[in-house]
Amino acid sequence: MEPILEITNLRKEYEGFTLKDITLTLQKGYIMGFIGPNGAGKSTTIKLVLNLINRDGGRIKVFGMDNIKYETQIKNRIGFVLDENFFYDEITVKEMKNIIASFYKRWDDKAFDKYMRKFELPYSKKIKELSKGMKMKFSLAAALSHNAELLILDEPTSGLDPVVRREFIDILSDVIQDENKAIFFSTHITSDLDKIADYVTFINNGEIVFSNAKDEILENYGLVKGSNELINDNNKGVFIGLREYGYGFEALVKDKRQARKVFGDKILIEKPTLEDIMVYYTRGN
Amino acid sequence: MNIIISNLSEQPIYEQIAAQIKDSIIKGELKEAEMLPSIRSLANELKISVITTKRAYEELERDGYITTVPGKGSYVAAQNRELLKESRMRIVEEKLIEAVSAAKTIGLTLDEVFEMLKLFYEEDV
Amino acid sequence: MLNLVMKDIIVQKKSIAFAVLYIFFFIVAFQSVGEMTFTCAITAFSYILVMGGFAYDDKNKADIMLNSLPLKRYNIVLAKYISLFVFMTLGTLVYFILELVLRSTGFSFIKTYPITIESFTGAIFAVSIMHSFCLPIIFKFGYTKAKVINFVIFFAFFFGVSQLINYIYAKRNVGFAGKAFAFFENKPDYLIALAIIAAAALLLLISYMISLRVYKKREF
Repeated sequence: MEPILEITNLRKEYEGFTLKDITLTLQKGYIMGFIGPNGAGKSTTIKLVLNLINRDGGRIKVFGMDNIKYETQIKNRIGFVLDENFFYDEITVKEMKNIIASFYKRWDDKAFDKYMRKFELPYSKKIKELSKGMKMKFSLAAALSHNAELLILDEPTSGLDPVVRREFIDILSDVIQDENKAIFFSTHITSDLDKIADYVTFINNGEIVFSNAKDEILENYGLVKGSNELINDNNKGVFIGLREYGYGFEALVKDKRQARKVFGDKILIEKPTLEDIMVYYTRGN
Repeated sequence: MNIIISNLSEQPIYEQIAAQIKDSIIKGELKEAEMLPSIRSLANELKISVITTKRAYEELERDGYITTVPGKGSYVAAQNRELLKESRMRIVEEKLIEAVSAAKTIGLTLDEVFEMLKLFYEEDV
Repeated sequence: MLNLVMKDIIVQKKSIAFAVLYIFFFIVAFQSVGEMTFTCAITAFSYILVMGGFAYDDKNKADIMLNSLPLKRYNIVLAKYISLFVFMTLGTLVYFILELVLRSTGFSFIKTYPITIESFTGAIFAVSIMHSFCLPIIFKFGYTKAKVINFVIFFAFFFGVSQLINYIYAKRNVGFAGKAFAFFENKPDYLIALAIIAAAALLLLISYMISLRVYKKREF
């Protein structure tokens, strides 16, 4: 089945930073979390998909179509929430909505109204009078009100409190009930994804570290804890990142069964969170 | 049907789900031909990945506990007699073990326990 | 695409109201300018509102949102050129009404000058030249950076063009200028007006094509 989003060997060069060999695939019906530390290349990748910047190599296909050649058709079917709100501060929510709605072929005012009421957003307030959370909710409402099949979210929850973040995740969970939709969600707040992501792609320093089913990742990676005497130069290689403390060590392993074989019963192996994985890959030792 | 998932357990989540559904079926809480929630709505309710629920259902189907009809959903499969008998036997065993250890605590002899068993069996409770 | 022009109007609701007062101020304050009051008023009016549209886009980083919408980049560029005409028409209407009202209500101490073919043609020409230069620069560098450059152009335009016209007029019997003058000397007014408007249109077209080219390459 044709993926809803397919990125192949994407490349973008800047002075001092290069995004390279970015390859990932998302099928409809699933949520993919796109994680990585700040500056890893998440926003750059998304901007390349939205054709806000020009690529230096590779291919991007959305709904099976080239993202530059069929740009407007594709964008009609994409809902986006970006990390800052880029709306006109000086006008009201209603006026802004009317502007946005005028560009989409399949705008659904009833759906928008439903979300406005669900989020308790006022039509008559000016955009600049809204809190950060309300602005994001407005953005999300608009993204969900034109029958979009692919949702692209670029750090939509950064700067929001946990309560709002949870509400946001709940809404995404409801959206993905429709197996014809897909969600591409970039964030560095991985706790949002620990539960509902189906797939996770981890990017660091402009390159993909892994792109897999979240369950597989969390079932295979392990957080290993034990006493410092257990480590020697021979078995260190199995660790991705190691932290030695005064009273023991903690390390990340890619294959916990293998770690169990190497160290036997002398170690404690725990299930890592996506944050653990991200931190260990990024900071290492 | 109750499904309680532990995030901290060693056991993968899909296994936990499959095990709990199997249990419900064996205990008779889920009846034959009863429809299970769709993998998506189950994932939504439990706030987990749909891949996980899919895997759980696949295991249940492989082991013969449910059947999935594409486009319609998943149903509790007709359980064969052997399986049922086996599981019932397990329940009897469990109960007996319970009764025996309770009897031992208050110091009943084997004969006294046997008398009680005979009474209840013949009484057609 | 007209919704983009509407967007520029809605976002600047307040400015438009002020701009209307501005025209009134112009009519009253620049009575000595005579016929060309209209030209100056309209040029300023259009310029302020077109630039205002860019200013709001820039302030809110709207380029990013607009380019994420199902909208081709040429629409964004074209809409700004169309807004130019929309604002010019609006300004003309306002001037016409204000002038009419002032004239007929007998405020004889305010000398008003109705729109003439000369002043109207002059307005179209002035507006076209100014924006033909300013717009591509804004599309290439973004409004904030372009402001400085445009400022320089604005002044160069105001002083430079009048010098240029004086120079051409002085040399009107000689060379190219001489031939051009001889050609137009006996032609009816409307033909001259048409020629000037055609030149303005050509200038805007070239400007549009340059704007489109640089905006297409822009990265956000």
